[in-house]
Amino acid sequence: MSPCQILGGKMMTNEVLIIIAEDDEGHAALIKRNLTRAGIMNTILHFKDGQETLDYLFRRGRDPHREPGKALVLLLDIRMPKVDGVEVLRQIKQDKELRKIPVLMVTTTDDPREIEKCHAIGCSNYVTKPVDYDKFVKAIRQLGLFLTVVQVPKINGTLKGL
Amino acid sequence: MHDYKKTKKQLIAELQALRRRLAELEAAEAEYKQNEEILRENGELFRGIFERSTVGKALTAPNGKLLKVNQAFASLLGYTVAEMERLNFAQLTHPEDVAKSRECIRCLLANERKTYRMEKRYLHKNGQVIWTDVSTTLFRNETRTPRYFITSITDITAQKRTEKQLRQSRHELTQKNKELEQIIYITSHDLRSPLVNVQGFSKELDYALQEIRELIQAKQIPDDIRTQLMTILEENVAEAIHYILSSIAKMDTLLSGLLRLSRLGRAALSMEEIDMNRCLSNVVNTLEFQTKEAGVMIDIASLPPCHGDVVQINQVFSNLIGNALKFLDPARPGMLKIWGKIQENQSIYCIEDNGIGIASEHQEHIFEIFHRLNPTQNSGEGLGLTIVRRILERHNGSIRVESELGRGSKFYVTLPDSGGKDDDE
Repeated sequence: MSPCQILGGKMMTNEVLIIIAEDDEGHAALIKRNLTRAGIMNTILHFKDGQETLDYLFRRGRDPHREPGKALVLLLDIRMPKVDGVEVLRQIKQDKELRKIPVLMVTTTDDPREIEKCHAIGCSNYVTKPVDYDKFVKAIRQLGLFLTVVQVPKINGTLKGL
Repeated sequence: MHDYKKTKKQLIAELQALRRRLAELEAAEAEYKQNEEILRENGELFRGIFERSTVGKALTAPNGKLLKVNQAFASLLGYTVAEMERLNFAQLTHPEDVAKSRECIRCLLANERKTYRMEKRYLHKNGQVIWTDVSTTLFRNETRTPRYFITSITDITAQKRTEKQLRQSRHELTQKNKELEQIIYITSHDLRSPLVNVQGFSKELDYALQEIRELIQAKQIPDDIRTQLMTILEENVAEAIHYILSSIAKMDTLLSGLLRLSRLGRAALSMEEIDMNRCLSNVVNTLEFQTKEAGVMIDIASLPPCHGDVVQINQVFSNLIGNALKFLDPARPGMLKIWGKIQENQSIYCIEDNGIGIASEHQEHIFEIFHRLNPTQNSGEGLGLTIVRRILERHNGSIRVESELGRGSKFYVTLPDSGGKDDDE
């Protein structure tokens, strides 16, 4: 994959950082394995709850913090301790800069009302983690495909004035 | 002055007239006495009715002063009749209901109504609140001047208490149901999360096993060790993985069922009049494949409409007809009859089959969650009838079954008819 500029957006390249917000270590490991199998070689950063994720993105509290100008994709679980995924999504979508980050809900919740809520708030995609592993693998592979075509803008600074 | 010119004949005539007059007067006096007796008796009768009535009675002056009360009313509020007849009605009435009572008085005095009925609270002498059902009418004299109010007072305190308890129980039940659904939802959801891992990593182990197999085949390993390794891998490990995976699949089915059921309970109902002929023809069309495969005759009579959520009612009949198709007797051609009627503001539908039937001892269990009569012979998660019952409960409807083993089953579905208004929680 070669980097290409489209309307200030960026095709998913190895420079794009993938953030996984997922309280279940096992789920995170399975997602990482299958993303790798789907050919996604990007750096993956894993946070274990909504608070850690928000602290990183909004650059507050303890390290690590987001580097300005970095292109990000967020894979967000819904049911997490402290701050849940829907709230994380809400806060991101309320921020003038962070709202540009593609947020993909990756969650066991397949309740139509949750799905509707997340789409209404503005998630880019909603993927459920089925118990059936063959389906799970398929879902993550499709997620990987989505990631290869998604346009990822850099956040804060570099795109100003465009 | 005597008139000596009167003849004897004249005098006799006058005497006779006087005698007749006397007889008339005597008769009139007797009648008067009889009337007086009747009046006295009537008076006693009405006093008796008033005083001995088990319903509270009161005569009240237009200014609110109690003129006359009976024993039942006095006892109800813990006074003697004499004590009460010194009081004004407002002194006995619960402060919050005085205004309501004054409105009743105003309305009757203004002649807006002939009688006025309301529920009001009195205060017992000991301060206790007494709930009553009160009917009042105004008595006027010949010149239409208001004389007094006649009031009947019925004690409904016990009824009110029961009503309140009933309301409270209903509220608690709704709360409990909500809690239960929440618990089912959260547990089934949270239980799914670890299951993703158990299933995922078991599969990963399976992949690893495959890689090990290939390595064993490819590498230089002594035959006896290779045999041992293959035995461990094929018999122990593969078997363990097989059981883990099949158990997970089963657990996932159960959890999905629970989730589905809890969602059903929480989904908002969109109530409307349903054309059941159209609904049933949709259901039967969807099941066309199964119907043809089973070679079943389906006979649907003209059905009355009902009031409900069309998606959910469709689900009810789809599950019931699906069951009827699933439990046919292979020994005879399948027959399904569906008919309906309206009875006492309810639409009743019957789905009748000539299938294998249900033994009486099983009939009460078939609506239970995850209950399956023939788990080995038929597929299914044991939720179909539980869902049917849950949907009907939410529609203020019901379901019952009549069945005979070896003969067939009749499922009766009762729903509010199309005129019914929904008072769902």
